[in-house]
Amino acid sequence: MIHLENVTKLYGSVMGVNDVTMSLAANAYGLIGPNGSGKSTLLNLITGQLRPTLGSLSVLGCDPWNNREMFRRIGVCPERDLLYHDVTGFDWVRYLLELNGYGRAEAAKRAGQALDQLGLSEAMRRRMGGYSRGMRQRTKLAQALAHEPELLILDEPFNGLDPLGRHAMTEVLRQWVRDGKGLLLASHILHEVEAVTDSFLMICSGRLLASGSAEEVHALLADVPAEIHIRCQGAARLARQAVEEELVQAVRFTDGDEGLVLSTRSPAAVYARLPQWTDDTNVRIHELRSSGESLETLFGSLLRIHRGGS
Amino acid sequence: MDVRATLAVFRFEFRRALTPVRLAFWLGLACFPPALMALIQYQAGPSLSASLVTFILFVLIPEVVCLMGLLLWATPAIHAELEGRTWSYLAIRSGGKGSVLLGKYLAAVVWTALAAWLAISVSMLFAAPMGNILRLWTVLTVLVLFSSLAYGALYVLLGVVFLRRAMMITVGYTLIFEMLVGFIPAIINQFTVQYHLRGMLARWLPMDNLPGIWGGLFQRTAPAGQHIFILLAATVGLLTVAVAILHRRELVRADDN
Repeated sequence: MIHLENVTKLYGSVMGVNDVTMSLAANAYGLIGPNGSGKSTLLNLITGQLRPTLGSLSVLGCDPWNNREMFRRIGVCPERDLLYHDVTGFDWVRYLLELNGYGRAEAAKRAGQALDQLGLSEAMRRRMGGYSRGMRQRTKLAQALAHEPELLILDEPFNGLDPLGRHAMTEVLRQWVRDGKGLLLASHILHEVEAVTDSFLMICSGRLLASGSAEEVHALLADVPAEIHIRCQGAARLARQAVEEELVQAVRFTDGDEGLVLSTRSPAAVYARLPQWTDDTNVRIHELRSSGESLETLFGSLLRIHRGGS
Repeated sequence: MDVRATLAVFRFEFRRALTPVRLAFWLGLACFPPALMALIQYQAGPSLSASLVTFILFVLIPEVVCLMGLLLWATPAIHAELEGRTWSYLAIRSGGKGSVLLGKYLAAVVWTALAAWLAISVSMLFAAPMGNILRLWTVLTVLVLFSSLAYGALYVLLGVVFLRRAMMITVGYTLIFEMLVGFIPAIINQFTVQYHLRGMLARWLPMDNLPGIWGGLFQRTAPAGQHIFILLAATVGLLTVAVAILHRRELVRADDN
């Protein structure tokens, strides 16, 4: 479905994508990475809006750059918000379908169906300036789906959606995947992608750091130290206790003796022992906060490994 | 070129132009030449020659009205999509980037030409005492058509080449080349659109009694057909270059996201 070989994209001296090689068979994939990690650049390369500075890529068997035939076969939902305030959702989707080669009547029929499928039957004749963010997101998805592409490429489609909207969007995408069509879904939130597919590509600083199933990602996350932030009186005593029991890999003091960050691979064990430690050291905890399975931390670790660090 | 996609863009853009603000501007653009003509007529009375009326209408309508209309609608054709962050939705359509450019160009040309034609028609009320107004109306209408086509193509190209500062550069170009160089009696003025519009006007209407240096500008230098051919060829050439540049340029960057 998508094949990239040593693809690098430079914006002047700024690296957008760095030597990415991957080959994706027809399936659904989640492209995970923090904001600014190069997801959008990678998607723009795949959708033929950018040319690689180095390397080569093919999408659905062809070079995507300015490839009008390929544009018929892909549906793209960019991250950017819609700004045609003075146009109705129906007119806009119909217009984009006409640009895809459909006649006016056929475009109108397909636009109506796609908007209806996404629950915009009543709103489609209203101007988009009056739409909520969620409605605009659904309209964006409608224009990507309306011409029934083989491959759907979505950049942060859940942005701005309320829980109901997220659920509806997830259901549409799940159905898409069940129908056996290709999907590439970029997001910086793991569980959003996880709800749709269990195949992941992890990107950070323009590099493809890892790929695999949800289990593999969680296994990676399990090996990444979790950070526990504690605000208390007598942080040094508490830190000493934690280190003595060898449950933490690192401690860091913040705010003098009042702030403590414990870095541990066994957060559950630390939480279990914490009440005893506070009793033993006579420390009073004011605030306890966990960064949990932080993707940022994982990406940081993966990036260090990728660069040859430990 | 995908004709169907181009027409779809034209329809979409033309409908978008039918907002109260844009219609008010359109009406203002169409009304200021007749208003100015009425004032001049009122001040000068019967002493105004037919050549001078023709000259004033030529400067006001195929030049000023067309330039202003196209400056506002043709120049930012692509930049408006980039600024509105709607370009990435259009660029991935099989109709092609060229259809988007040409459709928007057509919409700008029609929008401007309609304002100019209304301006000509209303201005005829004040040109009536000058004699053959049907001929004057026809000539100005044809000039507006060629003016809109050629200036529109030129501005679209400038807008594609200089995406960020297109307006400023286009205004600069217009002032320096069309308004200054265009009036210099030398070979260089043949490279301006205005030279060919003037040449056509001089062929079709008598421009004998113009005062001072203005008379020298309206010489019958070449057959009207030659001027028409040059303007049409320039229009096609400029649009072709604009579409080619648009196809080659990467208009989506990381910092746009």
